[in-house]
Amino acid sequence: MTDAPATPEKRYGTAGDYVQLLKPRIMMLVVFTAVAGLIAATGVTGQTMHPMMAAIAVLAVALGSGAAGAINMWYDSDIDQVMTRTSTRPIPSGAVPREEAIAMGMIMSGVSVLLMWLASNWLAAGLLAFSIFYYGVIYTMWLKRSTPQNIVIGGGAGAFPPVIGWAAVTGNTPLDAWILFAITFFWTPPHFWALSLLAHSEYEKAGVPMLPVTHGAKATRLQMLLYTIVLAAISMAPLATGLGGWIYGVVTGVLNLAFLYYAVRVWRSHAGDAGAPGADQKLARSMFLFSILYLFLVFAALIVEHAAGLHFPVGGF
Amino acid sequence: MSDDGLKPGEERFPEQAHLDPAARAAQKRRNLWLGLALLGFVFLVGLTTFVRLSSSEDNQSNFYYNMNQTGQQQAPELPPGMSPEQAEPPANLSTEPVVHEEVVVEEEAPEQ
Repeated sequence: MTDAPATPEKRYGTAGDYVQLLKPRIMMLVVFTAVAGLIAATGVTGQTMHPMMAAIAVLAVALGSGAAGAINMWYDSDIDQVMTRTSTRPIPSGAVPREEAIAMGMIMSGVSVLLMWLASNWLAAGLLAFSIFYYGVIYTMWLKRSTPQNIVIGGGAGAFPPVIGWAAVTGNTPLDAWILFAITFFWTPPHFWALSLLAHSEYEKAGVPMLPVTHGAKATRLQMLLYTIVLAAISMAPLATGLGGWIYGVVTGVLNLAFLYYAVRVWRSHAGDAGAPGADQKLARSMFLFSILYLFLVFAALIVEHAAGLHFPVGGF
Repeated sequence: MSDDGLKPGEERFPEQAHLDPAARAAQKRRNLWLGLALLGFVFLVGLTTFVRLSSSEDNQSNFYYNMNQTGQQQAPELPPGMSPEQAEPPANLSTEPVVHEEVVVEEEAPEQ
């Protein structure tokens, strides 16, 4: 008589699993940049929003981000299972059924757009709906598996929150709002490629055409440097329009120098190459972590200037 | 009547799915969170409605208030060619509001 094979114990999803489905770390950054857009719009235009409505609008952005995250996890559960980094996510680990993830994503999308419309205006609600569609459909279902430019174009989804915050206050999206969009847009490639340099073998295994997989680590390091140079230029544009003042200029200037320093060092390293020394890999990781700090501090400088009455414009037209 | 006690055309309800205690507990937890989420949504919709209504009431009262204030504080624009002196009311007319004095008619006492 032989022993029956042990069946793995079935896991039932906890509240924590459902929270993980919403990608809370991305959500935090999304909410922060949306708040920055909201506060900057108030500071620049003088238009205000009822504090309760502003809080609900921010909650709507958070829900929308979570909804897009759930749709992404639903669609990508097959490749998440293959990659070590993502194999513990709620769907591949069996904690949350796929149907529940997509249902949650769709319902939360509707709720977030409705709340945004009730709390602010149709433009902000429309932009929120489009950004969910951009991340959930254009990036996740189309770009991610078809082009090495996936995160460059897909970065647009993550760049919308400051524009949504601005639109929620003013009902329009002037040049300043799109400058905030551009900062996040050009920040995404060096940020994400720093991570994919470290995990390119995982992406290769899953069949995702990330730039280091299709064009190699050397080309990726060069692209990271070029995008960082463009980012450094774009991030100083608020000084010209009057959106950013002296504090913003000093903080962003220093951060740009540091980001460029990391980009040049990574470009000259062998990070992502087969048999690259540990120090080079560590450098790519440091650049990834620094990029998060960079975006946080750039938007924090804007918030401080406009919320604390410390906005002293350098220029403006 | 068939062997299982059903009339022709009648169907027995399917048996309720059996859930083990862990699954039942997980289901209860999910239902609780769903209920709370729905409650939160209803609360937020109610709150936005309340804030919108109250701020529009404020706006409306401000509107009427401002309109009245404007009427009292600012003189209407003069027609072209008219000087402010010409617009002044004639001297024999008072701008003070007219107070109608009550006329008391004394009734004559009836003759005796």
